[in-house]
Amino acid sequence: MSAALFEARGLVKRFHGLIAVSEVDFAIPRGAIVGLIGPNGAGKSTLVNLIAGAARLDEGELHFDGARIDHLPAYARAHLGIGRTYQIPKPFPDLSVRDNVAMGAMFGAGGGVRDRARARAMADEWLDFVGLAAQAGFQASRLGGPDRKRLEFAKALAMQPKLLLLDEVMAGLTPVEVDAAVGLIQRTRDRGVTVLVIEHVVPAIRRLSDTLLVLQQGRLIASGDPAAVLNDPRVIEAYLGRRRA
Amino acid sequence: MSARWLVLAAAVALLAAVPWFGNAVLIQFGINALLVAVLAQSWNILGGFAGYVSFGNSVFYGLGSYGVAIAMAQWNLPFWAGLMVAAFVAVAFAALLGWPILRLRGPYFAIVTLGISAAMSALAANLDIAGKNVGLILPLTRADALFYEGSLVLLAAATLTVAWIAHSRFGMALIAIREDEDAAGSVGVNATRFKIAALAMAAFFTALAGGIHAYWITYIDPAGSFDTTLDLRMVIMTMFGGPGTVLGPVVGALVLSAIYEVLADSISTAAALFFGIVILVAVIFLPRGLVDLGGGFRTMGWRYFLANIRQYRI
Repeated sequence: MSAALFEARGLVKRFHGLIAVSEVDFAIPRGAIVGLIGPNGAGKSTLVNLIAGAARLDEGELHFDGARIDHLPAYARAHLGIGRTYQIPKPFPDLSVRDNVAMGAMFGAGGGVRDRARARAMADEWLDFVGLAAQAGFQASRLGGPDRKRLEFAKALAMQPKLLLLDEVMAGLTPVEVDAAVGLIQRTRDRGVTVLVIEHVVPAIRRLSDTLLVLQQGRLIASGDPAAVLNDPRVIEAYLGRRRA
Repeated sequence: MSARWLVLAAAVALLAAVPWFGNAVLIQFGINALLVAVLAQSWNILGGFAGYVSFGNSVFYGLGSYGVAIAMAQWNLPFWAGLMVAAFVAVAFAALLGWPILRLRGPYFAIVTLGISAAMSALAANLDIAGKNVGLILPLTRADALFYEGSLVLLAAATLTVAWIAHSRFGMALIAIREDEDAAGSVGVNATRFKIAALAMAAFFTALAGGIHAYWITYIDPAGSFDTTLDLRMVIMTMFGGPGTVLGPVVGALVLSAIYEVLADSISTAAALFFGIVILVAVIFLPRGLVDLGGGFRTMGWRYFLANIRQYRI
């Protein structure tokens, strides 16, 4: 078995002839936090959708935990241990916050736990972990923006994934909330979960990531140590250039 | 909680006792009302819990009617064997049909189910074994009290099944699909499998209702068995009572059947108009159904109706 938990080889995704993701190769080592940054429209969310199975590849291969997964539907990838959050949170609006998270526990990795009472107990633990315990009984549609992101996070964690895909969970948060989120992600990794973080907030992701990937117009233009990558002239030009100029 | 169970038990006992104190007209009304309540409750499994609005469940009703009729009239089998044929055919059809059409969402699914329901009556009208356009005549049995109790047992079985669904992992999967099917897939819900299972369960109870009805009226034909107005009644009654709840469809079906009967009896021709007004008022003031009224009114009083109007922006 290779050291990498996840590997993408030659990923290509087109939307009506437009190339969204082009020849992307990368690997995520077990137990790592890998960051993925890139300007708007670079194809970050498309990449998450391809990994999670919400969108189908046009070309390339996805390998997860020693098996090829690109032919599997989203639910089967969830069973194997891939959890995700949505950039625009997708709660189950009519259900309580607790039941939202219980859904993750009840289906999730390995098909989840069968017992609803146990799933709810597990949900309460995850709500406590993300700091949403006080809102457990609320209807999910009544949550505000930052709390919705926390709910997404708790729901994905309750699936007990091996690989967690976090699609811009920090966007729109205050600096204090960003710090809390960084701490949460680090503690998640400490629990043995491998994490891919897609983010706009560069300072936060620099602190978090072991490895940083940069996507621009669907192509991977740099990858490696965060400090080195952020000093790469191509990255500065493509991603930060306008701000520094 | 215990008071609620007491009321429920009393209601069931009262319903069960109808053949002893009711006259023939009431019993016959009761059979129709109970069977249509079974249809609403069955529709509730996929429509209420998973949010998939089917206008084609009458297909299973028709298959149930024809299953019993063919078994009894053509093969001389007893009624119970006919019911087994009916249930088997309907469940198999639901599984086969569900595989392609349950991949469709929202209005696309609704439209396809409408089309299937129209096609089935044409199919029955052209099959020799189904008696073509003429239909089939079943052996006559005069036992309205038995038909009534049988219908009540079927409704109880359907309702207990839905009560189980409401508290099970299976039910949570259906609810997740209704709330957000993409998000459901992301947490690991195999939506297609759960939707097909839901449709098959609906087909099972709907077909048994059709089978009982066929034996009771002793004569079936394509138009009467594959009756698309039944599809509208299932939807309206479930919505009226409370979709995705355990007792809503039953309450909705029985109350609307009674209202319609009273209106038809007293003002005959204008009945349809007043029936329409009743439904309109219900949709505006009770969008979550009749069974939501009790709890909502207790906590919010008259503001409950205003809150409903505001929430659904009618």
